[in-house]
Amino acid sequence: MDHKQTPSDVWIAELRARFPTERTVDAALTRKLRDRAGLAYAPTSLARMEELLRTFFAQAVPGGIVSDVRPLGGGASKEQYRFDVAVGGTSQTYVLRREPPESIVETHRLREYQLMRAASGTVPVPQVPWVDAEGQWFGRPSLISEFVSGVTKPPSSSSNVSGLGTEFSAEQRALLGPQFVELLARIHQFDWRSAELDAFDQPTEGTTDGVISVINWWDRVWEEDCYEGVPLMRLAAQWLRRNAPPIDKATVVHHDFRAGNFLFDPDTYQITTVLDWELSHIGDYHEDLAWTMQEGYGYYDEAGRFIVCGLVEQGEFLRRYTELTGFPIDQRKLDYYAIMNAWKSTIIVVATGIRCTIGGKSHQDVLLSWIAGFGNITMNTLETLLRKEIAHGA
Amino acid sequence: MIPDIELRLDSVRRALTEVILPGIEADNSLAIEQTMLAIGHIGMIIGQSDKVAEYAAICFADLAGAMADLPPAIGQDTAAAAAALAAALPLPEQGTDCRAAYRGASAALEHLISTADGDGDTPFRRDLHQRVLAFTKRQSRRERSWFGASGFDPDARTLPSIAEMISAERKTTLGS
Repeated sequence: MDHKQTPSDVWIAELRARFPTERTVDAALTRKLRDRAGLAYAPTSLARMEELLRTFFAQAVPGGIVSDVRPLGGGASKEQYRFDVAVGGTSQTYVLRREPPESIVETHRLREYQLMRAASGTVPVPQVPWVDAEGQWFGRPSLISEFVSGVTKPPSSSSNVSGLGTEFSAEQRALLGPQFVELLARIHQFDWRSAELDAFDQPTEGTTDGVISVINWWDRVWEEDCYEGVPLMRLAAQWLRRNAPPIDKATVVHHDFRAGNFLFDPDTYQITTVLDWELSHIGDYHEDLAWTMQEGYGYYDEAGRFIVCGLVEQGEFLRRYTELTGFPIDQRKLDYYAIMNAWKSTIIVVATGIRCTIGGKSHQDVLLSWIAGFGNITMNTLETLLRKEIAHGA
Repeated sequence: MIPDIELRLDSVRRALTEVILPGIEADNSLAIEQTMLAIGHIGMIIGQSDKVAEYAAICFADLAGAMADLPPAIGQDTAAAAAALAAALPLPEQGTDCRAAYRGASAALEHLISTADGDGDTPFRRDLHQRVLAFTKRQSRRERSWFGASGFDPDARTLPSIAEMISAERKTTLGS
């Protein structure tokens, strides 16, 4: 067993000092390390989960009756349970998202809760009535949202885990693609300064502070979680620090806006909700654009054109985005964030995912050890992009 | 060794596919998803199980070759880190599992890259970075073949199978 499985207080303090980042990001990562030497994941019986929910709803919705508690698949990160709450003859379906002891991304529930509430009305998101940010009610941090119906992929489509590689027909693309771009544009145009987002630190526009904070966040995660050295990752981190561009316009960055992270009605192809806000932060919209345009999330068509997330041709994606937002596209920044995102993706699947499985910390260990194979794709992309930049002397 | 490992794994895979998966309630999506992943894992492991040691030896030999004969470093810390890497590169005795040696050398190389960013001279850093990029290109291509059955690779058709990759690397990297 390596020393990372039993983190010392000295090591934790050293990491926090070496990689200063947002307050609530630091809080989530520190909690992960402090709990790491503790127990592995153990399933909670549905009877016990129902008991926890009944205790919670006895005070949250007096008279509410909890029933039909069921586990949900589909997510790589958090445990999810669907359940009903009946009050006075009316029943509402909810989803509980609970952190496992460690997760493929370690995030703070308060951030997810605040941003989903803030974004409501701007884009379709599930209503999030409750958060248990410290795990007082459910043993581990959790939030509860309303259940939204819809599917992540066409009924006849194949895909890998987590919505990766989802296939859409030309007709389906024509229906979903424009909505997909418009929703991203609306997220970036959202007036976050007027929202209640005190769990987030605000980057100073015109400086690189916010970019360095993001690099520190993920460099720290690499240090905390990587099991096997990958020399390229160190090289990439150095390059990212040296070449960080200033954030000229700070926007909400969803950070995982792609196929698999929205639901749509399988009959009308109307997008019903945008999911997975847990990595969101305030930053540069180019970071989101480059994330969504990652090679691993799309494909090249027969004409050699890249289809973003299998939904929109890349040129059309950027043209329509600019029309909707009026935001300029800086190709240098797109290139920069393409490297940053390939680096972050590799950290998530190759470092944190594997670290979770070493400790047996997640309900999805079998998925995490499978999805690690995606890391070779992101690493190959990272090498290709970084080689170009280094060849140009950057 | 009767039955051998592949046969036993295949029988587990068949039990999962033919008995356990159909027995799961249709609304238990988590259990269905995890059973399908377990079936996929077993299939991948069957294709890798008799090649793990040779694959690790190839990865280590390539890393050692890529980092052999680094130019002398001027900075004191970088020179010390380069010496530590050189000490981690000798090939383990034949028959030894190379995975630990690979991890040790990778960690030493990561440390050298960090150190060279401090007091390393520019020619040394440039040479080191080029070697790292070249090695990563070969290693990620190998890994893409090794995990090709996971189905993530958009260019899977351009990759050799595990058997083809091992056979080619046996000549080019191991020199056997």
